[in-house]
Amino acid sequence: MDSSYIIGEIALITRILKNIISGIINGVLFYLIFIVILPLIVFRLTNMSITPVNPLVAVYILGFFLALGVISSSVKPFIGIVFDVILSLIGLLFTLSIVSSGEYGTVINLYGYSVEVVFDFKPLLLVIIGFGILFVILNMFSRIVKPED
Amino acid sequence: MFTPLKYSLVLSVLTLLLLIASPLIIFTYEFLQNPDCLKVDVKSVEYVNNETIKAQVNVFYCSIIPLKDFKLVIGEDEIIFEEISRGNTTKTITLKVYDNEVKGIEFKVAGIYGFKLHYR
Repeated sequence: MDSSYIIGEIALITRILKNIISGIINGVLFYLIFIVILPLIVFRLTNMSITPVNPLVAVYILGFFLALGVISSSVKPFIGIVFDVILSLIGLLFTLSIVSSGEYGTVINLYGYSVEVVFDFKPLLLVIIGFGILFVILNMFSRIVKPED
Repeated sequence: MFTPLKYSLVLSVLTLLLLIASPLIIFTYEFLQNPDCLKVDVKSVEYVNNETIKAQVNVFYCSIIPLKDFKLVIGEDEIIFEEISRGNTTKTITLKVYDNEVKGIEFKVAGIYGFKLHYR
């Protein structure tokens, strides 16, 4: 077997491995931002207790993010941007579903009465989600501009 | 190329979050300091007929953050105050004699954050 062929194969495998690792890092980062950090910020600002996510569902979501992250880094940069944007938008969707679309309801005991309390924090959530989308667009543009520089 | 724009965006996010969250933070702080910050009193004034009475609703509120769209559910009636600011706010209403319990309160803190409290 030709030695240059083997070197070429090794270089290819290294590149694939590098892409996969960067994809995994990307996926984990997106998972942390959208599933852990953003809901935590919302819950901290609104003084609410966090509703725990089913561990199996969390694993599914993480797997989904990893798969999209790996695809995004493995394909050509311009196609990768599409997967990056899909990843970000689905992340925002998950954030919205975790914080239950900006409404939080509970039943408390007040002076011996059982009182149903509903707290609506949609404006705060809209600001966070709106800026999230802005950052997604900005990241997309910075990836488009980079190859041309 | 995009780095200064990103930094300025982060700065504007933080400023906007601070502006939007501050009424809620002040409201929560003042409520924790004084749990009797919001008090609703309904006093009957006179009988109109056998079924209805004239009543005076007095809302005492202590925080500097105004409450907008304040709604009081008494029996089947809804009494709406456009804005509740610090101090006492009174309104005269007519109520049914046999169904005059306060069943719920709804308001928006500074017109942004909606709160609904309903007795079960």
